[in-house]
Amino acid sequence: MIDIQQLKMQFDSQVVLAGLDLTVQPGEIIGLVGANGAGKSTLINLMLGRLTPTQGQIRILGEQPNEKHHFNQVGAMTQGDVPLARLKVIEELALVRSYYQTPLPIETLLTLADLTEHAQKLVSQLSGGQLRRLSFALAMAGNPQLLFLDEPTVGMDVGSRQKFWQQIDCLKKQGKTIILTSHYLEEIEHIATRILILKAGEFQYDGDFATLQRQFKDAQVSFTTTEPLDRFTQWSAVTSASQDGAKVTLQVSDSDQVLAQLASLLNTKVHDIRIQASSLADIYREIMGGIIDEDSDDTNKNGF
Amino acid sequence: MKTVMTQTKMDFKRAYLRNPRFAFFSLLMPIGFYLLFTKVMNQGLVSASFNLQYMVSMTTYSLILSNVFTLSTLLYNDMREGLLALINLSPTSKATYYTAKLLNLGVINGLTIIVIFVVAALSNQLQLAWTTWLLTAGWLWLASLPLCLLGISISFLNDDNQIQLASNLLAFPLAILSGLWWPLAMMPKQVQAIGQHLPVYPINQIAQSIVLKKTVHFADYGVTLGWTVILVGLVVYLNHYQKGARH
Repeated sequence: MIDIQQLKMQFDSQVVLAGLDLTVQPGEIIGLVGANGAGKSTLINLMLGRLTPTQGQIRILGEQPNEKHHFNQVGAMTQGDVPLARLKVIEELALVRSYYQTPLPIETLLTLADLTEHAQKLVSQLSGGQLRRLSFALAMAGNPQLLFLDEPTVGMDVGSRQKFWQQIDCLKKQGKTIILTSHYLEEIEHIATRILILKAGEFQYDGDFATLQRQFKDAQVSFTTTEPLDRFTQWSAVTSASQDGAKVTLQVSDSDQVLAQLASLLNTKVHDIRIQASSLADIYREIMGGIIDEDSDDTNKNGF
Repeated sequence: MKTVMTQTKMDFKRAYLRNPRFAFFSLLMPIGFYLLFTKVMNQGLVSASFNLQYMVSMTTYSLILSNVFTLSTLLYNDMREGLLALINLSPTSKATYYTAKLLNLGVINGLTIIVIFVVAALSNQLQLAWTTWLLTAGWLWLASLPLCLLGISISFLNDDNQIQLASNLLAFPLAILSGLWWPLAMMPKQVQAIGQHLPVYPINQIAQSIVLKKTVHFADYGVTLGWTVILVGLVVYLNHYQKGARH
């Protein structure tokens, strides 16, 4: 589907992408993660042929990214999408459908974007979240095999985000290839089959989430105990600890080591051990050296 | 072809039917001026030929507004609203978009001419042979091409404020210096010389000659043709050198 070799992108003297290599197979759901300005949108725009790389090669469906005819198989929901204000929703869908050889039926597009009841509304009357859903329907108009979604859920309320990700899950089951970016890392963690973490113009990680979790043994361990808290904070793998009555919560850098130490105390001084593996947001924060975008909100988990 | 027709239909709705700004500035304002000058301010004092001349002038003025003001803003808004981006990210070429724009503009220019002619004929009981009506309308419709090219050129400024400024700086001086508001003969000789070489003056002069059954000066065709060639060149140049700014 996608083959990128030694891709470099530079704006004046600023290197945004520093020699990326990437191959994407059909059916993969790629979650592209990185801080603001890390080059996520630049990479997507390069893959869509909207930018010309400083160096390197991009092949989309075996061709140059800006080949017109392959857009019959490519859909894109970019960050700058502002649908046409003076058309009704149904008219805008009819217009964009007419651009494609084998478009999806309007009813299907309305259902996909959960806009059936708003079909006769002028686009200018839609809310921010509804506009993003319309942009999604427009991206799907040509029934693409390869879909680019750049921050698709920005502006959507909790319910809309839930429905949106359900639709993406359906597309995943249909075997569509999707490249998506989102500041809601929880969403990426659930939907992506492969995660790319972009930092300083390079991929810091390229693989599935389970492998990433294994690489980062950080975890949160909680249990009840009658022992004083400082008994546990002395352990080398414990990075921080808190206590709420009998319940102790430890942030640990090596969960295997801490579990082995707790096991010796189990049922005598420690009870009810619970372990929670690191989320993508935790790992991302660690990779980024503690820096996380304000809008990369790992606490905002209501979308799922 | 189906894509062009859908694009044309939707564009017509967006740009004209649901755009009150177009109806007001390009249609109602010139009609209002026509009625103001021929019916209200000069009641009973004007000749039939003045009513005919002023009809032609206000139709030309309306065409300036539709082509220079409205078209430049519409083209810029299409870019800002992402229509060109949508087309760029689809298998359809931008030729579809521009063909639809020109088709709509042709229809709108035609309708504008008809509406102002009908209002003028009914309000001032103007009578002309149907061939004269047709010839005048046909000429004005055809001669709106350089105005359309001027509107396209302005749209390449790619900034709303600059487009408004350029439209104002071009449209009103063009109208005044071309004798649309009052006869060019009332102005100093040097100003007359400038006005006669602007693109709007010969368009208006030829149409007035047709309705008043006067001899058409072929030099006026030459100036119109010359401006058309210059403006085609300008649009081609701007499209080629500024395409990076249009997505």
